[in-house]
Amino acid sequence: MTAGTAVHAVADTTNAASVVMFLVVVSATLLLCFHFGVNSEGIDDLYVASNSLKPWRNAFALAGDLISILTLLTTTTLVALAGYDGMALAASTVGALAVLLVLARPVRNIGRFTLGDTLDERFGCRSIRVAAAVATLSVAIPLAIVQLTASGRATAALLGLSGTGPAQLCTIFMGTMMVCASALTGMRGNTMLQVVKTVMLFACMGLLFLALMTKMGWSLDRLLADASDRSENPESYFTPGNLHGRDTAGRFDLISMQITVVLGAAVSPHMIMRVKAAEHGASARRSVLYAMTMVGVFCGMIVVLGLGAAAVADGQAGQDFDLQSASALLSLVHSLAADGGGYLLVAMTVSVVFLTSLTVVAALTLSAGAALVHDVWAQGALRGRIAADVELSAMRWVTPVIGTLTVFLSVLAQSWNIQFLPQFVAATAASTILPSLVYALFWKGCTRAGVVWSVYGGLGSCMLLQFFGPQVSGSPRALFPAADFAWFPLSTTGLVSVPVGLAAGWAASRLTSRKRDCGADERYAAVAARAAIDDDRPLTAKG
Amino acid sequence: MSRHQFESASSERWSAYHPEQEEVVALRERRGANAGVERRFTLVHAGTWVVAAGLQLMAGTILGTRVVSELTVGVLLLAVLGAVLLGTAWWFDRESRDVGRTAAQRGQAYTIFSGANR
Repeated sequence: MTAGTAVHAVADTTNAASVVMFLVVVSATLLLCFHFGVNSEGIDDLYVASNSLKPWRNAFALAGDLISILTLLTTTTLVALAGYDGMALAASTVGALAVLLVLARPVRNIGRFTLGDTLDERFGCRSIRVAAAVATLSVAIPLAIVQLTASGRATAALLGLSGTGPAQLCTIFMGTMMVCASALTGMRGNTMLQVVKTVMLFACMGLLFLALMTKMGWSLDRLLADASDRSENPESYFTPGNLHGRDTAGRFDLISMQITVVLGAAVSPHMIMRVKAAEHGASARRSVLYAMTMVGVFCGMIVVLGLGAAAVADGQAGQDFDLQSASALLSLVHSLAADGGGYLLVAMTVSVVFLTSLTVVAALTLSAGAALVHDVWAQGALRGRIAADVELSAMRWVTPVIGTLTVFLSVLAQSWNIQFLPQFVAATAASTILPSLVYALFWKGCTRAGVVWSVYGGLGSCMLLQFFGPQVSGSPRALFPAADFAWFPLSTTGLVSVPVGLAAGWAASRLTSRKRDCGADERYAAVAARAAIDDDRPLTAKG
Repeated sequence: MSRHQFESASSERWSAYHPEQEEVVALRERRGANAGVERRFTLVHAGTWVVAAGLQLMAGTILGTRVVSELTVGVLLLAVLGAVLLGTAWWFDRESRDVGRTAAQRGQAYTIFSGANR
């Protein structure tokens, strides 16, 4: 059975009840958007929910931010197809939050709303804000395109529609909803949507997990044995190298993928803004800790479901679904739905795919809008001489424009092979945002030029290496399969671009004088002191 | 003891009190203690990933060896990796909280920067 027939089979189990349930979820989401859109007050509320989010609520939202449509669909498919390599990717996703755990308190305490605010607090200049905005847009826009494209395909498949046209229509529908959500809700509304999504996601994954394990007779041995038997390489299913190959380049590619995800997945601009929404530093750290635990449980379920998708495949797993359509989870839903409870599983999965895409893309659009309006325009061009309500109304206009542009690009991308974009986005975040944050927050010797060059150096190396990599040309699965100008052997560039970003920042800091940064030492002292603040309670001495 | 009580009880001392300087010094000390926790956490994590990466690079085939029934070394390695990640994360949170408590018990006055929670 091919991916296409699996899709049609899923469609057979979709009945009116599942469509009605999906529409109920869509309506409830819109109502939530309107409710929180009306209640949104001021610029603080729009960007960071007035720093009012308690740890558990923020943790649900943070977990929702990290669990994107890629984690849900692509990681499951990778586990099913590549065994060990997919499981390593799932472990790396959990590890990504460990990086954010260390950064959470300083990031929360330093800077008001955006990445640009955090970096500017240390150096106080416009070039830093522009660099931060460039890094934010380089991550947020491509990531939103990937999310919308994948969710358009998945929704079309789950509703029984195949081909590029229906996928484009679903992308437009999802995109329109996303534009509404991002235009109407700020951080507070998005948080509520993320909480709803995370709860539904866990319920859906839990149901699928129970159904699968019941089908497997609660035998882990049977699951592992069936999954490896149905794979293309049963003997080597649980060894590294199924995804990128077992030669030297393939092995380093797997390491590069893990490093990139660990260092880049959790420092995306929308997650930086989410951390800033916590009520204080300790709350931010605890949010990340709870989110990490939730993502750990989720990734465990994803691994089991991925193995299950391979185990219950009709023929060989590679013939049932492929990486491009990322349809392993959909194939598993079909198989389990056929055993009973069909419409409920299908409807829940459609709703979860919809909500996952909607919330993450809305958060990304908010962070992209904040980078343009707050960093570049309000604080950069106008140097902060702007009324808060003017900035607020500018955000209300800019966010839908960014959203519409993203939808347009996503519709175009439906006919392209954009498998390289997720890796590019993670590598860009790891090579630009992480080095600049680490230098600005933890290194006294860092200069303004150091931060700027860590951003541009990391971004430049990412773009260059990705362009000349195997995912853009030189292979049948590349963006330009007919052309071959690839000389860089790795499909994920993080192994090289992260050190380049760090080295560029270090070299620029060494080569430029700190005397040019007025009051750099005083600013660093203030930043270091502020970074240590844990919570709002005054801890008074006994004497 | 609330800040008001603290101020009343040591009014003489309070008159020579330079709150901003004390706050900065106290927060710097806390920052130093935190840096130690952060360094250990980062080292443990980096070490774990380096070991996992080294095994993948050098001994890929060993990871496919079955340990118990169908369970392989590779699956066990990833399970241990996940356990280390989550376990150390909870340790990190507890240690970070303890840094603040220990400092308070030593008798240092901690207040907050008014601008930090803008």
